[in-house]
Amino acid sequence: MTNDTPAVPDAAPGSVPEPTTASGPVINATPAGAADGVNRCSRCGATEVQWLPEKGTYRCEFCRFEWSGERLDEAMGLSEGIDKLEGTVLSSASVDIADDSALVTMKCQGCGAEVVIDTNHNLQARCHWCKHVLSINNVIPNGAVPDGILPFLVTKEQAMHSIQSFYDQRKRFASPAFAASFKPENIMGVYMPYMTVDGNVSVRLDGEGEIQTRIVRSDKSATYYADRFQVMRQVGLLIDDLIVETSSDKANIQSVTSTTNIINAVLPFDVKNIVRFNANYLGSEFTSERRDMDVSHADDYAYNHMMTIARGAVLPSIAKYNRGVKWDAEQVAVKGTRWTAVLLPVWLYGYVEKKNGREITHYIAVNGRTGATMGSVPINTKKAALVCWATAIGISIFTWPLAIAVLWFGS
Amino acid sequence: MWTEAVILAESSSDGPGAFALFLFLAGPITALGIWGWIKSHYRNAAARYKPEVVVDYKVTDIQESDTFLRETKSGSSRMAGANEKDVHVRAAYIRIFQHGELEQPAQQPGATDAAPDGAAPNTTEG
Repeated sequence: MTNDTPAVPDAAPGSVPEPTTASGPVINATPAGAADGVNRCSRCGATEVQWLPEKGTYRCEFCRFEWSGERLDEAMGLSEGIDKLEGTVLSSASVDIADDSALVTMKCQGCGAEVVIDTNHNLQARCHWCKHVLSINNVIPNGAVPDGILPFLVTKEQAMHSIQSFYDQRKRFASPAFAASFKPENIMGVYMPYMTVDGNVSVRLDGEGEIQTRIVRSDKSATYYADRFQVMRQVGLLIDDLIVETSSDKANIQSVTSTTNIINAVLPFDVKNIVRFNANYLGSEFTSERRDMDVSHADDYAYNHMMTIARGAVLPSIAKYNRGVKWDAEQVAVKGTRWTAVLLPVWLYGYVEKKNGREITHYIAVNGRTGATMGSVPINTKKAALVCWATAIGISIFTWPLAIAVLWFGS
Repeated sequence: MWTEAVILAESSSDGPGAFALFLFLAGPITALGIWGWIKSHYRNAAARYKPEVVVDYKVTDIQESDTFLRETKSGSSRMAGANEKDVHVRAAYIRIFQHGELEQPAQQPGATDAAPDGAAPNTTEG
């Protein structure tokens, strides 16, 4: 397996890299992880390693030795130096995707056989001859291997319980096809590709606001008098660990073919606990999705989130505008950003609804760390419409004769 | 919904006519309310990542400017087009400066410097 790294200057992990120049981004080198190929237990040499979510440790399935991963935040200094960020700083795994092929062939160090790993879905495979488990732990050019990973803490049973109770609260108007096929055990543990972004930015907001001065009430209406102001707010922000999607089909939350907004709604994650990536976290239970967006594609989403943060940050300063503020212009000046590629754990239940010749994928998602649950359940529109019509008719049966009587006797 | 029906009825005319209108609309408006609740409760189309709440950030400086434009009057208790609460919905004009400086838009014609409380121009820093 070849490991192509771009020819860009490196900075020591934990240090604040030099400002970018016209030549491009600076690389904040990710510490080397476990070797690719066969990963052996440091005590007995076995390759059967399992992740224990309840303990947050790995365990060798043969000698029961347990150990934990290295936290990336401390190893790379990801919480430090945000105020000194200038230009674009990329981690080793967040550089541009140079090769789009998903299949990686590895030579088994146990028997010499060639084993193919489909990196679209996993970063581990078992050698079909000698049964050793082979892992890809270090950056490869197709974007499949991140810098860090946040291991699952919520177990499959807990996630199943969460989506069952989410569904139970929405049983009444769920579409019959969804209800018939709903099986919580079909939930899948997926590591989704994201980038964490630190930012040193300035945001300027321009608009108009109104402060009510008096109200004049007549019998029928009220007239509101107000002073209108031109309003400007400019804030400097240091943003730590913004989370941005790097899977293009999940990043589009306005999609008409899938309810991708649901997956983003289970954010945030405790990203300070991200550890150096090791394919053993995936094991046989979990799959991973490959990143297909570069920083140059994901940055628009990041800047959008930064403007949202700025809009939230200025709210206390515009509280005096009791009739509201209409922001007309938003500008963001990005002094520096720092990007780190990570995999974050999500339990996903998917259902494809076919309706009027269209397909819509509905998701129920459970945050693999906090258990936060959000979902979209397809609606039995006939039943819902029937209930609405019945309500309208039921109420109108009483109110319309009354209304006619009121008009009749009132006139 | 009920409140809106009452307001609509009250604003259209007085007396029995308004009450009759309220009674006519009560059923359909309740049904529309139930439909809206089902849609939002089942589809959660408005669910989103809320960086303004969940992301750690520090405000290093804030500059404020409030310039009086004019007096206005309106029939609504809320300013037309007010969007300060929809923090995730972008304004009509957006600019992003990568490694650049913010643009300083020209002041509106006819604007006079005065703070909302009538004090001096309110441009603070720090």
